[in-house]
Amino acid sequence: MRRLALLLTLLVTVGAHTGFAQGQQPLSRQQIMTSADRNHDGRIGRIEFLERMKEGFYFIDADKDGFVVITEYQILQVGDPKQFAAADRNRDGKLSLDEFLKAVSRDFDDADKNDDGVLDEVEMRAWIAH
Amino acid sequence: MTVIKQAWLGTIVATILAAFLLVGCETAGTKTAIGGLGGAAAGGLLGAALGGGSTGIAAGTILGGLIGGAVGNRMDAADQNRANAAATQALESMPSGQSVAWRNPDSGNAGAVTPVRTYQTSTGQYCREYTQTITIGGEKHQSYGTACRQADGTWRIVS
Repeated sequence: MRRLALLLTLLVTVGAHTGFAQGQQPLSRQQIMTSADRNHDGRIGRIEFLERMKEGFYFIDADKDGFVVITEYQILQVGDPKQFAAADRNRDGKLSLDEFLKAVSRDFDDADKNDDGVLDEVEMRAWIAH
Repeated sequence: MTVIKQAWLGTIVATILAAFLLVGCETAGTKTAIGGLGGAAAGGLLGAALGGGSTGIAAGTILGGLIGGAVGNRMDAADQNRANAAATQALESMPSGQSVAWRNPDSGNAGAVTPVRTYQTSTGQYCREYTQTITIGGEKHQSYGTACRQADGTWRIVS
């Protein structure tokens, strides 16, 4: 129960901190958990993470052309253009869903310090903080 | 011979030191994944959802049969319009697991549409699977379907 509460707090804090422009809003605590932690175990597995990221891609792709360009990406106010450029493997100036998922999958690997295939609240906290 | 040995020894020592430094960085949790988007950005994406801001589309523009068969036949035009508007809003703006409900006070009928999965086809088109509940005359009906977003912003039911 305590673990779940910590994770909820972290996800809400991150969502609120990053902010969204033009009427876009971070999800509430309940919405994040419902949409990301599909099996309600208080942790986020790789499949849950990537499924949620597909939706993240859909939501930040403002013109819904199937790609995310830097101006859309920067809706996330912490979005780093250098990391965007590094994720853009074919250097066409936009991220395809495949490029995007490869990039965030590396983020998942980076965050999953104990390599157990899920992110618990400690791993999430450490990952977001650095 | 001695000079060569010293050079090799120096290389080996430098390699071991570099390996220790790399391991140290990783265990300290301070590195950023090469080619990743970074924890803060990815964390924001976990919470991303729209409260608006996408291209404008007409409310209730759903192509194809959102509600068919016996259930559809028992709904009047106002029910159908409200259901279509709810489906459009849910598909366009709601994260999976979040419902948009509708209710027609005149007929007493009600329903809700909930996206459950989002994906992209090989052509880059967005599709979303959804569940739908409709209550008519106190009877609850559930269905499952998939809708894909068209280039003009409308959604077409594909299954």
